[in-house]
Formats: sequence, structure tokens, C-alpha cells
Amino acid sequence: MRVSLNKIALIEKLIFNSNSLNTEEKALFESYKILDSDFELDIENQKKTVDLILKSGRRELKQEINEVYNNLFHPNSKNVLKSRILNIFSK
Amino acid sequence: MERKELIKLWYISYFPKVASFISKRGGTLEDAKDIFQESLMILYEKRNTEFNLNEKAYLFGICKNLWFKHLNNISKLQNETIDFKEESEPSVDENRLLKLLNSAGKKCMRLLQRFYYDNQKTEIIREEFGFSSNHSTAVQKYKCLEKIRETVKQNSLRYESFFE
Repeated sequence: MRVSLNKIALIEKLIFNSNSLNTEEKALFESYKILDSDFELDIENQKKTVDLILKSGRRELKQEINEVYNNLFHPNSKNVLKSRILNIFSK
Repeated sequence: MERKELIKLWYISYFPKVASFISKRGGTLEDAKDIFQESLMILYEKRNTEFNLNEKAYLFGICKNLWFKHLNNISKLQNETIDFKEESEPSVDENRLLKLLNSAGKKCMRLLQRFYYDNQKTEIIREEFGFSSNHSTAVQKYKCLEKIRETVKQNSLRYESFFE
């Protein structure tokens, strides 16, 4: 893997499980902190990126849940679940 | 099982009990729908990290909590005047967010969501996406991450509100 990707992998470990860094990774981390002026910013941006991915995952799940509901409860659809639910709210 | 199939199964298995609970307490079908959908989101995320979860008990517990929270909000609203704004269209920020994510391509986003949001194992993702090995799956993951991170870096000052 190229150096920039290894750095991303290291940052991922730092974000999610910093206790799992081995001796070599800890040394690499320390050297990045000293020698790489962008390192802190890279960590920050990687955290933001993961946050964006989680938000988009949530948004897609929400859409899928709604689509399933709309299919089950479509005015033209006939199914046992729809009948049961409508019956519950007609009482 | 495909995710939509799983969601459908959850509706069939659990929605009647939740609907009945809410109906008996004066709620509407719309209330039941909203509370159940919100609970499904929480259940989905929980089951990605906790494998021996009692789904039925957990889901019903969330629904109950959300229902009581909903009642609390209603009683607060009756005592206050709140200015409501309907969210009919995606906000400007949300549109910017989508643009950012799409810049990495749909396949990349799907791959990263499988890793981070669905908490899926590398072996399963490798099969789903047809990668030759776990190593090449990981490499592709980091390439996608690099691509989006770069876009985030370029735009982070303008899009700060996403991360608040």
C-alpha cells in the first residue's frame, strides 16, 4: 500500500481503537506528529469524513424504511399487515 | 437477506404490537409510523454492534420511550408558542453534503457505508464488491476514504455546519 494510504490506515486506528497500536505504529505516529505539519489536520478531516459517511448511511436507511412503509401501505396494496394496522386504528 | 427484506420482516413482525400500544394510548397511525420508523433506525444501528440482541424486546423498549417522549413534547408545546418551519425540501446544507459525497462516486460511498455504517466484515464486503482479496478490499476502502477526505479538507471551512 502506498505511504498516504498507510497513513490513512494509521489514522483510522487512532480514531477507532488507539489502544490497539503496536510499537511500530506508535513510533510512526510520534514521527508524523513531529515531522508532518498536516498530520493533526488530516486526523481532524478524517474524523469529519467518517461522520459524513455515517450521516449519509443514516439518511439512506431512513429512505429505505419509508419506501418499505409506502409499499406496504400504498392505497392500492392489499396485505394482511395493512388490514391489521388499519383495523387497530379504526376502533 | 437484503436490507429492504429485513425492514419488511420487521414491519410484519413488530409493527402491529407497537401500533396497538400507541392506539390504546390515543395515538394516531401517523404517530405509530413515525415512532416505529425512528425505532427501526436505532435497532438497525444497535444490531450492527451487538450480536446477541433481543430485537423484539429492544425495539419495543425504544418505541415506548419515544412514545412517552412524544407525549412530553406535546404537553410542552401546549404551554409554549413555537414557530414551526416545515421541512419539505432538503436544506442548503444537506444539498451541499450530498454533493460532497457524490464527488467520490456512488460505489465508493456504498463501500464506505458498508464498512462504517453497517459495520460489516471485510470478507463479506469483499464478496459483495467482487474484490480479489481482503487486502485489495482494504486498499480500495482507504483510496475511497482518501478521495472524500480531500474533498472535505477543501470544503471544511465552508461546510462547518455539517459537523456541529
